[in-house]
Amino acid sequence: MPYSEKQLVKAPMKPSPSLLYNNLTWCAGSLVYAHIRQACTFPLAALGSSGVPVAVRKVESQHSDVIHSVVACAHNANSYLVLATDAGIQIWDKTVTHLLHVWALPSAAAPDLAPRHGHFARGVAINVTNDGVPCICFGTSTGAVFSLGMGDDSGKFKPAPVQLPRHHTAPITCVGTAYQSRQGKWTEDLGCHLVTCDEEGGIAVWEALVAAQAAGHKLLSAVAPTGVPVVAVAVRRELVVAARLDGAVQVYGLRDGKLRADLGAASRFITAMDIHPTKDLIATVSEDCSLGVWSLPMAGAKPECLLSVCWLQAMLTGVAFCGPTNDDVAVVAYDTDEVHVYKCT
Amino acid sequence: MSQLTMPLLVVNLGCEMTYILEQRLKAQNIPADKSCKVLNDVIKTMFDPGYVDKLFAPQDMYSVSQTRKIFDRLAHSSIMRLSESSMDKLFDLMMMGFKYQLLCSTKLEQMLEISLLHLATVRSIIESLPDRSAAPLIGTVEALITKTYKPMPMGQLHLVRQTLLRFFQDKRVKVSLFLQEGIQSSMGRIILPTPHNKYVGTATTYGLEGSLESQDKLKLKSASIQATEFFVHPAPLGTNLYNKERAQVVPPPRKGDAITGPLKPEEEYRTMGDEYGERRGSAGGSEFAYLSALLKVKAPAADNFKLNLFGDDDMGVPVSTGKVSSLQFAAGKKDGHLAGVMADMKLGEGKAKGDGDLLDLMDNA
Repeated sequence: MPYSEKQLVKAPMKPSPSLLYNNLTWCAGSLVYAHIRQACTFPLAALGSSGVPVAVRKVESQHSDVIHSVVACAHNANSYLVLATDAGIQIWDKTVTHLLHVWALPSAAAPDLAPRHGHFARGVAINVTNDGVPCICFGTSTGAVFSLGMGDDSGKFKPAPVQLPRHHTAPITCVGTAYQSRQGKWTEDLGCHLVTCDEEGGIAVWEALVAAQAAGHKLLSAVAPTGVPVVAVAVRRELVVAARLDGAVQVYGLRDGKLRADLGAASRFITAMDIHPTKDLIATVSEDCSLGVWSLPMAGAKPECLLSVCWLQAMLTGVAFCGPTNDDVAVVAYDTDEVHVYKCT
Repeated sequence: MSQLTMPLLVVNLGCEMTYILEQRLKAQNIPADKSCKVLNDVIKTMFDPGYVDKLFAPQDMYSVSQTRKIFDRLAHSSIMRLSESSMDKLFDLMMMGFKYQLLCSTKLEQMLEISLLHLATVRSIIESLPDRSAAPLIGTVEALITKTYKPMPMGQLHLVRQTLLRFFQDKRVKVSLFLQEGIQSSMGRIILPTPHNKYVGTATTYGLEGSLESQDKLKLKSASIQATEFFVHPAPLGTNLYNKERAQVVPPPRKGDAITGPLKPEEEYRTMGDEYGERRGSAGGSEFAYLSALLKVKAPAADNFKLNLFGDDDMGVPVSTGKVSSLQFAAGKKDGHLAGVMADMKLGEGKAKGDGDLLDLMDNA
């Protein structure tokens, strides 16, 4: 699959993205990122030749809450744009026009945590439990993880989420599932596993058996905290792919938590990772201005670097596989009024 | 977001402000006693023990306009008075200085190192003065900074960094000193350190038992980019770049802007004066009244002098405006504006409020 630094389309866009983990998502033909308290969206089709500005539509988060995660969740023919904020989560329709559901964080933070940070939600993924219920799963700054069930036929969400049994003691950084990694495209190897990661570098793998019960979520395996936060996580073929803040992308066994591979993707501060929905590829970006597209070391295959570029003087903060076949790679940078898209030829 | 960012913000911005003021006082040959008074007053106000205690308490990050008001009041804590545009320019330099230091940090611990270097340098400035009475206050702040941030794990430190960088988002000003010494590109972008090290591109696989199976070094095209594109200024982050005794740095030639410069560079970098002008118009009276009790403002001295804040030879003036701004020391004369400002402030009051806001405590220390 050919990528080249020359197959680049870049366009001005305003406002600039914030420095968040995974601050770019592909949602039903549009790219979406967060600018402080606003979700910003534009259709990829609007990206013409280089230099032509894209018209970005800004959607203020409810009550102007600061956004910590912006994630597109696809299920069957539907897509949702989920914002995790200081106040809780907001679920928007795929056009980011109608606010479908809001859930507010409980007012009191966990009493045993020192007041080092404000209360917030962060990390979102869609999962389907073993009993067939689609759920939006998200984490919080207390380390709690929640699963909000959805009525399959109605498309409506349950009034309140179920809290998973306590495991993490540090703020959740990201959440992943195989279904999220496939962008809602059904495959036989999906399973019902949910992976949660925290600021201390711990990883937990849950088996989501019964959606409506906390006890319906069982801890399957865990990777002990390493001290290095996991900033992005994906699940593919019984493997957990975790991007860590120090620049490493590590692959662990889903069931045994053992390290299978380690890839030096960046020199410092990885900010985002996306996984291709149908191919075993990942894209990583970092504050050190580097973008990499890599083939995963799976099924005996060795990892390869398919694209390695530097966007000079830019701290990259979001990356997303996008386009009609999801083969193009879009990138945005903190405090930079521009989007770059590398076209796959 | 992190609730422990305000100490880093205020300390580092305050030290940058001290650097700039000290340089201007020297450049204008202000008599030593007057320079000494200005610098001591600013440091004593900024590092007043009661205020520092509140500063280090967990709290939400202040907005840019609220922070601007803190330093506005700090600048008025001595005998000097700044026009709005002068204060805007000073604040521009302070903001861009600390933003540069954050962006160019390659390790999270550097936020602590930068803060301690700022404080050590300010202490050396104070200790070179006839009156060194402000110096012990700096030691207390150094200890608090170390105590607060040294034990922080990586995840929390990165949240502090993200919260700080959210504060600086969309704040872009070209600074002549930064352009001349290669800190900013000709387009105004901060030049970031290299993304290359020995680890990048290394791919290691392990067997099921944990044994090493293979290790390869992947060839990365990005590694061929010349090192000069990632020029790093040799002065440690937090150094007093305004010190005239420092040797000027000549950056290497760089092709970066020609390759990947912003598509419309001029529009992105404008004076922040316009922004502050808008905010001054929209700031509610109640907000200013609430904030006005921030600093303990001393009665103006009987004598006065005029200080030229951004003279012709200044290397730090924001490029976007070429005007020279004057810093007027008008104490002792009848000044309607100053009288109005003084009337809003609470002078000589007693004990600090119990759980008063950070902004209230400066005045009650």
